[in-house]
Amino acid sequence: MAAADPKPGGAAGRPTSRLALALARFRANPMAMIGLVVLVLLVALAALGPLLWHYGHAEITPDLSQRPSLAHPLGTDTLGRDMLAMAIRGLQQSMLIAIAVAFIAGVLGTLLGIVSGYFGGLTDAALMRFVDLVLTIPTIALAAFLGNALSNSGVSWLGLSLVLGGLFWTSVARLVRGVSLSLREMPFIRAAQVMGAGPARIMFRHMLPNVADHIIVATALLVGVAILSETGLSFLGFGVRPPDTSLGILISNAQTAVLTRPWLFYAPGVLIILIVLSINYVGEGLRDAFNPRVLASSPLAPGPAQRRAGATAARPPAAGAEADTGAEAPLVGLAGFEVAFPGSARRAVDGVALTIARGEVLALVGESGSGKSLTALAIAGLLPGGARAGGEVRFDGRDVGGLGFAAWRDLRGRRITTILQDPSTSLNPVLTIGAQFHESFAVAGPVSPAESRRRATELLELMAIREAAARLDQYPHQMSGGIRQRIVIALAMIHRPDLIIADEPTTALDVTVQAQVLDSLRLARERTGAAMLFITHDLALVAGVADRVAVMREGRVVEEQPVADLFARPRHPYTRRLLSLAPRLDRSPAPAAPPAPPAPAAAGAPLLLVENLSCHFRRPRRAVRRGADRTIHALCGVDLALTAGETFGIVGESGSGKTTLLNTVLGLYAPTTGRVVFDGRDLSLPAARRDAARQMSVVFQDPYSSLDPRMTVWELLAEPGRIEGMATAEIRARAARVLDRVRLPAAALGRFPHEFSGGQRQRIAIARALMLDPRLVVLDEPVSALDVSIQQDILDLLAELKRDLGVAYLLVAHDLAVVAGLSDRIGVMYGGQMVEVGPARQVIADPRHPYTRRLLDAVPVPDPAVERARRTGPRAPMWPTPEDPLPPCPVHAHAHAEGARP
Amino acid sequence: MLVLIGQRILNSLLILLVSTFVVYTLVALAGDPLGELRDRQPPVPESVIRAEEIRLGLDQPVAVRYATWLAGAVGGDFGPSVRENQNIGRELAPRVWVTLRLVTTAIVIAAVLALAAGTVAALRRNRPTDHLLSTTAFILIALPSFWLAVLLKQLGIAINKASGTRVFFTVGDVSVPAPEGWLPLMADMAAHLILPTIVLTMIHFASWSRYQRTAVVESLASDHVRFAVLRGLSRARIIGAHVVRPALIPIVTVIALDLPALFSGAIITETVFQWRGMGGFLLESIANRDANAVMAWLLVAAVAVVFFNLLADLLYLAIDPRVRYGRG
Repeated sequence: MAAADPKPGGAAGRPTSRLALALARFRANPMAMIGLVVLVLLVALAALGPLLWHYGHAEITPDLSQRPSLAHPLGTDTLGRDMLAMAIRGLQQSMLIAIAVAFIAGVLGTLLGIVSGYFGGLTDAALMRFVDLVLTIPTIALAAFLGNALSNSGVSWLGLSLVLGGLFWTSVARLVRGVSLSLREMPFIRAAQVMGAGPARIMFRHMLPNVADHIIVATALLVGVAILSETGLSFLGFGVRPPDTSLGILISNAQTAVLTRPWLFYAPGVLIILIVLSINYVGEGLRDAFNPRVLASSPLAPGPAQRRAGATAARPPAAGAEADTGAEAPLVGLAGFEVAFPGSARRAVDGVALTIARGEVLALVGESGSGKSLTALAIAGLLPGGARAGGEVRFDGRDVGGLGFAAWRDLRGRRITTILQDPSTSLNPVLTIGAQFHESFAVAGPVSPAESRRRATELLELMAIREAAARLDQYPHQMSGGIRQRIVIALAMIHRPDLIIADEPTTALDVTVQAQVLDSLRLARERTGAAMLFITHDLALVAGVADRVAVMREGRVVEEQPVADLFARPRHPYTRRLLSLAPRLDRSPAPAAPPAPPAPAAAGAPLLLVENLSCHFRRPRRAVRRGADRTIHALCGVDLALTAGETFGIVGESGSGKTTLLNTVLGLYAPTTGRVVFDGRDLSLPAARRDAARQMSVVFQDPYSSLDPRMTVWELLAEPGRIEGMATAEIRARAARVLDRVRLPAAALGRFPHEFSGGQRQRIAIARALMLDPRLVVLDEPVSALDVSIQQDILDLLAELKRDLGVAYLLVAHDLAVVAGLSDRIGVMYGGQMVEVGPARQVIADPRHPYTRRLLDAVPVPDPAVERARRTGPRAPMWPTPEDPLPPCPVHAHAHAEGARP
Repeated sequence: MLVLIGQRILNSLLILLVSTFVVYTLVALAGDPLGELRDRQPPVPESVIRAEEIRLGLDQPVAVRYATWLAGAVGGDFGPSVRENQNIGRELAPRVWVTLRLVTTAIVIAAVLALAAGTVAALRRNRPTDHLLSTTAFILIALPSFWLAVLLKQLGIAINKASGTRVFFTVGDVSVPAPEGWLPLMADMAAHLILPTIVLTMIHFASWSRYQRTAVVESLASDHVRFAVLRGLSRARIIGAHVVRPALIPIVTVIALDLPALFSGAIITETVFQWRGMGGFLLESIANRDANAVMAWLLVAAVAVVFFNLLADLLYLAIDPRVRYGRG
């Protein structure tokens, strides 16, 4: 059945490859195309000119100092040489040298850049110092000297190219190195490392194709730079030498003739400008074609909401808009609101009608792409560029659809405030917190710095931020995400707004921090009496927050009900499905989990044994205060044993060390102390690690970055087998088998990852992990990058594979529900230590450690009554506290692991 | 803070040390300073060549020569020149001032122009102002500096001729003889600076303005700008504090990286306008294969580049608190 045609390109009519897409984008760029045509013409002139034109460049004709004429289209010089012939020769020389320089510099820069980026650390530091060094030298000076010294009778074009290439590689090297360094951290490179791929394979099979487009662009632009340098050198007399000629020499000769015989001066100059200009336009065109930057448009530009689509202007006012003029007019009213993007058939928001009463909390729930954020942004007048809005948006009875920037300023910040998703980016990194408070206070009129400081301190204290006054003098990067988000909330409270829009305010935060931020948000709302529009993808979160809930899907509101009714009696099947997927940890623990396989623990030695594993990193010296401890105890004496066929789930928040543990098990980090034993062999031995690579595989969090975008599914699946030296026929058979297992069609083999949805990509990643029939699959947050409705499919698939294939899983997740659903045993990590280990059922239902209790308490319960009761009652106590701290980590005398941070 | 600055200075010195050694070796290996002497017709006696070799220290290994040279250079003695009666240090010193005058003026003007043009283009992205500025920048980037220099010089001459008075100075860095008195001298130098500065400024401002445009466009799309808009701040405040200020960080890097190119440009510009600056000195020395003179020139250029890079590092400290306080 499958494997009939595993080669890429087998399927016809499928979406085109990245290269074809890039070429299409390039063709659509008029300046780049004009540049390309000019460039091709110039190259043709340089290559074919001498064959077609009857004068030679050194040939002396009887026509002295002739103006341009039919016989001499570019005139002649004082000796009677034909300018066109000389210009063609100059063009040849310049292009030849420039292309050679770009080639030499490109190859040299690529090699050094990739090596530097792949190895990082000392190699990188040394190579980059070398680059710094070359960069301190003015190229023309050294090139002139070397060019002059290399040969007495003028320089050959090759010599000149070598010298210039030897000086110009730095720009390519820096670029390639930068991209390689970031690639190195990409999950798809890590996946290749776990498969046992060697440096050469990773550098040339994975890194090179992924930097290729950058190299092409940089090299193309280098041709222009090289032409300018070469002609400059020749102009000074140190490049190409007479009797041969170059565009630089021609200009040099014509220096005094600008006014008397301008043709001699302008012709070569214009040629240089034309070449460089066309190269630069082609280069820029290539750059935009390879990496189309979809930048959000300026929020300062006149927004699309102001430019109403003509058709919607004629739309009669929505029914009820006139009737609502009574005292109880809603604060916010949307009627027939829609947003469309050009080039997209489906409207992103399709006829939404919503109201928010004063003081009410409306939750807008939906998955990515449901249009919930667009709807919210429209109320604050900030739709992305290119979007066309229609319908009606009213705030406090006023149509805000056509407001300009100045009019919006009366609302924004004072009556409507917004809290964005990611607190690490919503504050200005180069201003102190105090300055950002001050400017927000000043929105309503001048305030003295002392006054704004006093009030800001009050607000921060209200948000339970300790040492509030000191925080005002700090910068955002000096605080944690939770504190930053609470500062954002404090900023939103300043002018006692009528409406707070919270756009996924806790999505970027850990679950215990999420609970604190939700408390702060609740406090902010109570203090200001504001209405709130709470946007989230997490239905469970809504139970404790909202008065009313609207569920959005594909641009439409599919259901809207008071919160209690929605959870008790969901009407729309989509809502019912979302509710069924929301985990209930408070009820019977993990009822969905299949009965654990008969514990094979007794059968013998564990498959994976982690003994007293510690991993310490040293902070870079400049990142800490002097004298402070630079050691980070990323892992601290962790033990765990995993028997064949068992699933061990590790749960922890960011910084808990769970990822370090996993990376150490995978061999991506070397442990400081302790050991990892797989199948009875210590993995610190290279041979054992190599053998283990065959039986151990990994599925990473983000299916968008864990698959090499330049490889087809066939190449991706084949890679583990190739590294193990398996025969192609065998690989083909296995690929067909695993694809069938993860329920993807065999036709998928010829396609690229970008042609699949997130869930399908994760299936591909799982298929790859199964290629060599592993005994252990390491799952690093396997569903956290996926939409809720897809998460369950993947978890079901994983459970099924475990049942059918008997593989063991080492599962890491921040989400207790994910871990609870799949694991036989659970380990809870905090601060690099395993604080609690136990059977899944026990850890969830009867947690022993205070931290586990706190973690469980922070998970929202998708039941309004239960959740509200929990929230008004006491929270689980904090842990660690000064009285009951995290046990200190013993630092071993031989702790070394200097250098790289995780 | 002071520790950080100290570290940077130490780092710079180290780079200088290694860079001079590498360049010295390269220069020493690349050419024979006595080549011209050896090729002379009729042949020069072997004893003369030998004596010249000893005078220039060519009989010693490169490492020793470098050490001697370095020890001398620190004290301002750049070693013997091929031309017997020339003291490299004394010849070069006044020229350094002449060139630095040009380069510094050009950097300041080009940086200000680039900031303004790049920011305006980004704020008016894909509108006529942007198209005009971007096209101008593209053309300027493609202009060979020497061509532009010659063109401006000849234009200056033509204008002078047409008007019958000296509107532009087209030759030299100062009138000969130089005017008496401090103020007239400054004015005279400034007048001579006009055309060369235009050349140098135009070429570099163009590419810097492109970087600034990109930086501002990216800055405009960032979350904290959106948040600033949503907080109801004024347009001026948003552009000044939230858009442009964070966008200053990349442009400082670009300018610092471009300094050697500026020196290269200065060589060409000075040549065209017949300045008695570092450019002329370098070209003469190269033509004479005067290794020590070239080395002295490269050292001065490298010191200048390293110094400006240090300045850039200090600017980072001022602009970017993340550098000041470290990350995390």
